Amino acid sequence: MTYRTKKNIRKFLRILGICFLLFIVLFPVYWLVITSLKFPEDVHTPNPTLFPERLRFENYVDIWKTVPLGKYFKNSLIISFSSMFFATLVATFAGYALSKFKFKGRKTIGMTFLVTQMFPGILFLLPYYLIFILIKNSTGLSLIGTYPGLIITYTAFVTPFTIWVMRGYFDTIPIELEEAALIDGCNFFQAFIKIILPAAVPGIITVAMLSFMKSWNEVLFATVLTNNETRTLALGLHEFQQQFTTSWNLVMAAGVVIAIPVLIFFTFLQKYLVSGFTSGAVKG
Amino acid sequence: MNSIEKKRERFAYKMIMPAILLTTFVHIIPTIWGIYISFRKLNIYYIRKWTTAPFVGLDNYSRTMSSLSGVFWESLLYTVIFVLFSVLGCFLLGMLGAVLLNKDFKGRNLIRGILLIPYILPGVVALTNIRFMLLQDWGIVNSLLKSLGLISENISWLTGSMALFSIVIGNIWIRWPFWFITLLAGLQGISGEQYEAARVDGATPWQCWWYITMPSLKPVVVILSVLTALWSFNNFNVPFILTGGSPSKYANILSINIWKRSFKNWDFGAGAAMSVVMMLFMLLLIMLYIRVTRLEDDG
Repeated sequence: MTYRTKKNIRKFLRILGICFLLFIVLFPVYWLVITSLKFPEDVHTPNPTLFPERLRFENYVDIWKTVPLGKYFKNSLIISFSSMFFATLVATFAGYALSKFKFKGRKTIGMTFLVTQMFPGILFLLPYYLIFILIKNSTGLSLIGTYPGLIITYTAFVTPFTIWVMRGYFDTIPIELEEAALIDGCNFFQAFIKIILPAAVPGIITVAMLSFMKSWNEVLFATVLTNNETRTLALGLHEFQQQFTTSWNLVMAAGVVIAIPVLIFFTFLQKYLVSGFTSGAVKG
Repeated sequence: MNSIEKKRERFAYKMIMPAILLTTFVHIIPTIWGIYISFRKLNIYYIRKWTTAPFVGLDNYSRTMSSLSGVFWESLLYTVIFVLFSVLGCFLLGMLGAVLLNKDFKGRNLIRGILLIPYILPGVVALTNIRFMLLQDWGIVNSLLKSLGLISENISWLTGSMALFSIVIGNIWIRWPFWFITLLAGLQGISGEQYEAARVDGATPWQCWWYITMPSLKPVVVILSVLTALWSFNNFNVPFILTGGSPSKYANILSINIWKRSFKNWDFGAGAAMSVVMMLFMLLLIMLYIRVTRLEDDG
């Protein structure tokens, strides 16, 4: 075999492999989008057409009428943006403290965050639910089925992981920056806000995105902590699918609508995110 | 300790306090209470005044784990199979993608972006879509396999023993891009000089792969494996959504099992006992993770 044919075979294999990967990613995405545009008769058949001859854009109008998708959307936006805000704030503060300051118990605290991040949600769900009941019985304050209940929960869920990502980011910022600001007469907090935060923007964006996606996606706690009024999109989609088993075109249209905010987010912030994801994950 | 150091310490405590309070309220107190509940007879009758539920010793543990109700061990077995094959699948696909996209070529950035889609797509949407594709009667997978002549009868992917296969596929589909992007970053981090030197010494591409690429990727692969194992071990969304909320026993992995025990059968004591056992398994994985990341720090 000459060098040239060997090289050609390699090139062929490379293209073949890339096509394979593109297919397993793109075919399901194509199927999601095309189904959301089909007529119900073209969906619920043993031989669904790959390239439908007619499209039904009204699916995207109908979904807002058949299920209270608008309400779910509002709930998810309120809950996701609030927990994103609080989680980012908490993680930025804590990550900075863990990265740049020496204090008693620093190692233990850091390790506790790491360990709690890994415990499964199902483990807390039950006692957590019982604590909510206890709070209600003793103070009359009901957290089940309310926004604050879920916002606190989701904020706490992502903080351990986001703290580690932020800490990794602050580690890369030279301490001299802060020292210079202190010499200029800033106090610790001013130095943090004016000098350190602007340098940590990529990390903050990564953390914000991660916490938004977590709340946007969460199902398990939503099954227990929401009611009809505070139902989130993720759980709403599942219930919609369970309820309308012969409206898959509408379910898929709702799925596309749920995906859009995250896709918009990602497209705009992509350049920050890829480095943020990988550095955070590999460093722990 | 001088005053500036004291000031620094006080400032650090202030900064970290919100995180500590949150973690205590949402993670630590519930964990401790969960352990407490696992020794109590807590069912629907006691739920409103759960602090008065009677103490039953190890009854919850023996009930859930006795050989009579093999459900727990069966569930654990399928969970382990689910985890192992998920990690393997993510490794194979992620590595394939990373190797193929390591060399620069026209359109590489675009393809990299496309391959990340499953990671960005909200998990609920991705999984609902996969469920739809795997439906027995209307699913495109059965339809395609049939038209290719590979099967004659429609396969029931989401029930029975095939459900285990399907949740593995679903789990791999949403997770492998994370492997791909991390492994790609790892590959790009290996300096070209190492390969140059090896080639001068007459090493074949296979030897380069085995003696340079694999050892440098090893720490990343180990960390990714442990993280994926953890995230899969406690996964709820994948089996819950893929099977439409009622998985067959083959897809009835631990988290689903605990959820059903607690919130469908209202047997909270048993659910808590299973959670505690599950937590012990998780701790093993976490200790492994900590050891591995430490090793990397030292090296």
